[in-house]
Amino acid sequence: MIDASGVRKSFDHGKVVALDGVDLQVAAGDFVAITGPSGCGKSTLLHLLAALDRVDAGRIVVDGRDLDELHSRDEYRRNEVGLVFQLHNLLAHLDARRNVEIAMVGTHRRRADMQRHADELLHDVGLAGREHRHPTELSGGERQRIAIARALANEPPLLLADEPTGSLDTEAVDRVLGLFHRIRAERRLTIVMVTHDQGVADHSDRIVHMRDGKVVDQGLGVVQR
Amino acid sequence: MSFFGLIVHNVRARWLRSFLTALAVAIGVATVATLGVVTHSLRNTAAAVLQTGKADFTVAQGGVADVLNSVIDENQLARLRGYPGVRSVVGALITTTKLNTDNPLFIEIGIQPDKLAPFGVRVVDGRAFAPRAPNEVLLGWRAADNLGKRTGDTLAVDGKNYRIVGIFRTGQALGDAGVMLPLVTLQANQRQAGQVTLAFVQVDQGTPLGPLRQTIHRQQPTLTTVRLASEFGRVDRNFQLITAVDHGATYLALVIGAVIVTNTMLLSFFERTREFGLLRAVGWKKRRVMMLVIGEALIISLFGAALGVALAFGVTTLLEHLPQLTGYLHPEYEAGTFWRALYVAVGIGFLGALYPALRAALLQPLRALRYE
Repeated sequence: MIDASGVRKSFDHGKVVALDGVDLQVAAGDFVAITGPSGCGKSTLLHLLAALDRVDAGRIVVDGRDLDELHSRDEYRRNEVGLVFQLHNLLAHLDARRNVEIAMVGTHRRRADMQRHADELLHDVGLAGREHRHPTELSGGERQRIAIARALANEPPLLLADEPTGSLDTEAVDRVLGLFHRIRAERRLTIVMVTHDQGVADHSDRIVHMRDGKVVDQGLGVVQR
Repeated sequence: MSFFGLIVHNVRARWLRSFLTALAVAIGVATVATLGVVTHSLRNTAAAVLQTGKADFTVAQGGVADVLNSVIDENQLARLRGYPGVRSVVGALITTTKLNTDNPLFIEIGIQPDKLAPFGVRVVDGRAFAPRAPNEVLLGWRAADNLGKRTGDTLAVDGKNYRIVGIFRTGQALGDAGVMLPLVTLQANQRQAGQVTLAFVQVDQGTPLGPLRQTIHRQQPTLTTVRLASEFGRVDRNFQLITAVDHGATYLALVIGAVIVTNTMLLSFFERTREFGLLRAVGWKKRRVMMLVIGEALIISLFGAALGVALAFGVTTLLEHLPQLTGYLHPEYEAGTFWRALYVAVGIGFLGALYPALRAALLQPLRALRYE
């Protein structure tokens, strides 16, 4: 599913090296956690996997496609990956349903189909009956579940989550992680989750450790569920 | 949720900002529409002078700054009368004088009494003046109303006292607000013996006007002919100037409106940077983000246009009732004026949103998502 090799990325004209020759392979259907101390480059790697940024060197191949040679990075982000952020990034003036629908605007879906699909997704993440609630009327965990529903809107094969539980309480963390496991099983999703929390990382199939821009442990054979 | 539905929702969600922006557009549109209506109406009122007397067309000296500066001499009048197909030519000397502070542009029309009827003048009270009477006048009904004068009263004009021998009506505002006196009397007063300002031409039935007017233009190049209000600019440079000012105001309204919309949309852009970043992150194309911003601006501008048109109606009605414009301004709401207002609104919306839309579209999603 994901084959990253020799990936380098630096900022500030090369003064800050975020990734220094990262290799990572993720098989289809895996639930991989990338963990490590702050500033180790784990979020940068996730952003590169999401085609939100470009590598300086090396290559990343997702589902057989080199991300540096994509015809349209927008279409890749829309159709091939679902993104979940720590701060969920919901639009405050839109209700839950519309926050999910926003990812489908401009696709082939008709309006009624969009609405039905958004409602199904909200139902799947346990928010049935809250379609018309605005983000400010919902708890942190509920907001994150809307963000997950939005990430799944275009049925991508790969879900990328950047500290998805970073701003949640324990109960909400458990619900979100439980949701990840369920949707992975139901939708045959590949999930790559960045977290600095070892307890959260333990819920994954495999834990990749990073330090100073390098993968120090691929986690192969460490945890297999 | 359709894309258009999202645009409308975004506009409604920020209703106060949208309303204030629409108000700015409305002021621009109202300026353009009001100036358009006023200019059009004043042109028609002023051009009505040229159309008095059911003339088929009017002849004046071409290229003068003010139509009242036109001079046509007796020889030219005689030549006009000699063209085949011309039934009658009525010459009138028209001038303005300051009657008092309330009537700074009081119109005096010198005409031969036997030409009053062909000129379209109906004496509604009293009688016509004698052909060479030095102190007899006919007063327009509007002037009589304004001045509180009746037949038999005395009217002082330019230091001379005239006896009002009758009241007339022409059916057009400027004429009815003035005075008529024998042509020779006014020519003597103005030291313009043998000269008139305008010649009103009537032709025999079936005579084609186009070729006749072309013949006059060709054979008497100092003269020009006017048939429609839209041709008024040919004989009155002032009017060309007013029209130019009207167009200038349109461009100015466009620029000012666009600057205001740009400012508002830019403020909105800074507030919504994370939103645009998110849209790009979930796969929205740059073009779609641009269309979102421009679409919102256009919706606001169209709302502003509707508001501006309503405002223009209010302002023109107010102007119509100003004492200084009573009788001169008869608002005529022609479609062209409102199309222009609509173009201005759409122009303001599009130009004003272009730069913020480009900035929104060109945002790096990651940077935008981190924007505080």
